[in-house]
Amino acid sequence: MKKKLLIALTIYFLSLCSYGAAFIPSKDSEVLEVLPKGSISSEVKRLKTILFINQNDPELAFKAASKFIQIGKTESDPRYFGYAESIVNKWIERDGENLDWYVLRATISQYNHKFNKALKDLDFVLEKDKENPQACLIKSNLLCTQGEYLESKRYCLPLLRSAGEIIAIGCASYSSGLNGNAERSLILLEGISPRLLKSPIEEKVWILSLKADLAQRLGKKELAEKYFNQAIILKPNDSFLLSNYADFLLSEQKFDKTISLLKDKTNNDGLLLRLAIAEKGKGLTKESKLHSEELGIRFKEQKLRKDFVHQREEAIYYLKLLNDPVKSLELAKENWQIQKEPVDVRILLESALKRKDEDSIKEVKSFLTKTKLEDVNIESLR
Amino acid sequence: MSHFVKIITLQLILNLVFTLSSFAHKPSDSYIFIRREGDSVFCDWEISLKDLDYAINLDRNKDGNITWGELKSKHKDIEEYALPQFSFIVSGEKSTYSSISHLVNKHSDGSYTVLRFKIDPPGKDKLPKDFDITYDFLFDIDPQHRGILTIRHKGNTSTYIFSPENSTQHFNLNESSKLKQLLDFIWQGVWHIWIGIDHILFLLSLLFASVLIREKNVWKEADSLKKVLIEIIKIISAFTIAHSITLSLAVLGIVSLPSAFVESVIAFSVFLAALNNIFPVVYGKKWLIAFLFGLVHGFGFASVLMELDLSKSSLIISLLGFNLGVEFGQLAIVLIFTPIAFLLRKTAFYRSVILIFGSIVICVIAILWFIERAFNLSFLPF
Repeated sequence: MKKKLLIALTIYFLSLCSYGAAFIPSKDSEVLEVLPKGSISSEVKRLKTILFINQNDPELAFKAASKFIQIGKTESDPRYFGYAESIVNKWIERDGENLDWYVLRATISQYNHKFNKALKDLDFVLEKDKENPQACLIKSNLLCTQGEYLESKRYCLPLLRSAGEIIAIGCASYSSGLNGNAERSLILLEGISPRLLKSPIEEKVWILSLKADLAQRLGKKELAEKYFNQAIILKPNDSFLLSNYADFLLSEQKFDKTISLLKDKTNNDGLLLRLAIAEKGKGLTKESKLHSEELGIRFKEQKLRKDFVHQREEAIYYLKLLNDPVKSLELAKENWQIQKEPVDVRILLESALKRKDEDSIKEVKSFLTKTKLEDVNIESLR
Repeated sequence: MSHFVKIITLQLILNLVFTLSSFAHKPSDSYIFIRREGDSVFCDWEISLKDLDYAINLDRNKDGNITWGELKSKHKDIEEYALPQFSFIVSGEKSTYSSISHLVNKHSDGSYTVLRFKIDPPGKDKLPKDFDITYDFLFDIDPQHRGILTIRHKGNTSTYIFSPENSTQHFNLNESSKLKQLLDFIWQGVWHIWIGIDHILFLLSLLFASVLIREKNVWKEADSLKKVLIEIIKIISAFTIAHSITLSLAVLGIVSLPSAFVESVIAFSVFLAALNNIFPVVYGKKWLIAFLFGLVHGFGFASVLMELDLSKSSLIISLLGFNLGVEFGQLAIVLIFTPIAFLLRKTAFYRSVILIFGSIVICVIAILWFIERAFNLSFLPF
């Protein structure tokens, strides 16, 4: 088994070495690209045809764009977000009155880490429709990402009327849970859980992942493990869930479990990063090194586009895989200008402590005092 | 439409709302390499098979794999689809291309087809140095797509990015790239002085009294332009020498000061300089104030310069350019200020409104800046 893995890795490594040198394949039957699994590939082509035939049907266009976004997420391929964005842009030009297009574009921008662009669309929507549930939910979440935990809660209240109790409570618990009320938020979420039986799967997974996050930050390890597992059974391939669960497992030093969770998820850079860290922790130096090199190439190609959206992951990569706290701190500080979620606090504090960078340590501490953020992983660093 | 759409998006948003931390691999890119060999210009254009499959369907037998055989059979179609969207334009006329070969290359997100072709420019000059490139490829189906162009010319490699907002770019290989760099940094320096209102206010506060002479606790107008000019030259030179020293020390990494400290002291220096006009303490040796605080302003300039992504090889050029730019910017301010102040110096308006009232306003602004910067607050609009 191990031998097989090594051979596979060697072939993989050889294919990495060939980056940069163009070649002519030797056989016609040589497979150059494996497209997403059958049903998805045909779905994509079906959507394309539908769009082409029904060029004047906004409803179909909207469905297609939404579908592309979902495919982009499951495939971890931002191309599909691009396809969706192109549909949305065209329709905003044709029918700028319909706010739903702006909401959809904000969703895409948020996913692409274009937070300011997303906020612009959201504010446009909220100006015309103060209680627009989608816009409120994304805006609240976005403000949390930017560290405006208190402000974010303001956008949860209108959801009570427009989107129902469960979504409003989920939204508010996320904000409050970051804002010094983790324990109470967890109790609140546990309280509404029995009412989720008939809810759509997205809602269930969302509430479960909120609970898992709270339990983890409160140091309730078994509870966190339970919620993560329940969520992953419902949505086994959700990269957000997997990434958070992997972070939890890594903090517990459960390397074997992390590896078995992520070993076939190397398509996603964030998950490949966690896999390489687990391999390093377990002493699988060769595997970890190969995966780390692959990540290095991906970061490099990402940077060529002058898209600076992955500083968080890159900072973790420099700290945990390359043992370079100087570079890590630099990236963590850049990232801090954009994102301030618990994981961003962690990486900034960790590399600042390694570098004894008083400024950044002070910055994090005053942020923690201001927000009252609770997180055992951060506490253990201090 | 509206209601129906809302049901979809709320679930979709729940599905996406927490995907922020889990990025996939990079979005769609194509890579273009242009190089001169002998008396011809060659181009390698590398395009992702995934992108091409979406645009013109490469997987003919629909088995989810793209083989070399399938790709070969589509080479002609790819050329017809792609090449018209890439224009190499010399004096308004498009070049023609002669295809050389089709290869394959690997990148971090999969396989790419490589179109290798020769560029045949219109007109007699087969090696034009002055040309435009227009790149419109894939932007209609994926606005996140980028064309990344690398030009190799006389041992220099430069990279350019094409996006929907920036799809035509002008190239002039005659221009020595070092000179252009220098000019860029000079402009950055000028720009920084002009938008860096704190530096301007510091200088102006020092210059206000330069057209006056203090005798027996009373302001009198300076009698000759020569004396005024000498005073101004002394102040400006002292400021310049001082900030050049610290700017260089900081950029070369020899000395570094925390930016909050630097910015606070800069605000304080503005306050003192203005206060000195209201309650004159130092009036003979203002160049000394300019020198002392110039040292701190230099650190402020350095933080701007260091944000501009410096490479080690061009450090000297950027340092020199930025410094020169700052001087030019200052000079412009002096050239505007001096004649006006000299002409107005005898008026009561100058002495009460400009000198005293102006200095009071500057003092207030500077104190507010100081509070903002020292205590990390934000309430001023500038």
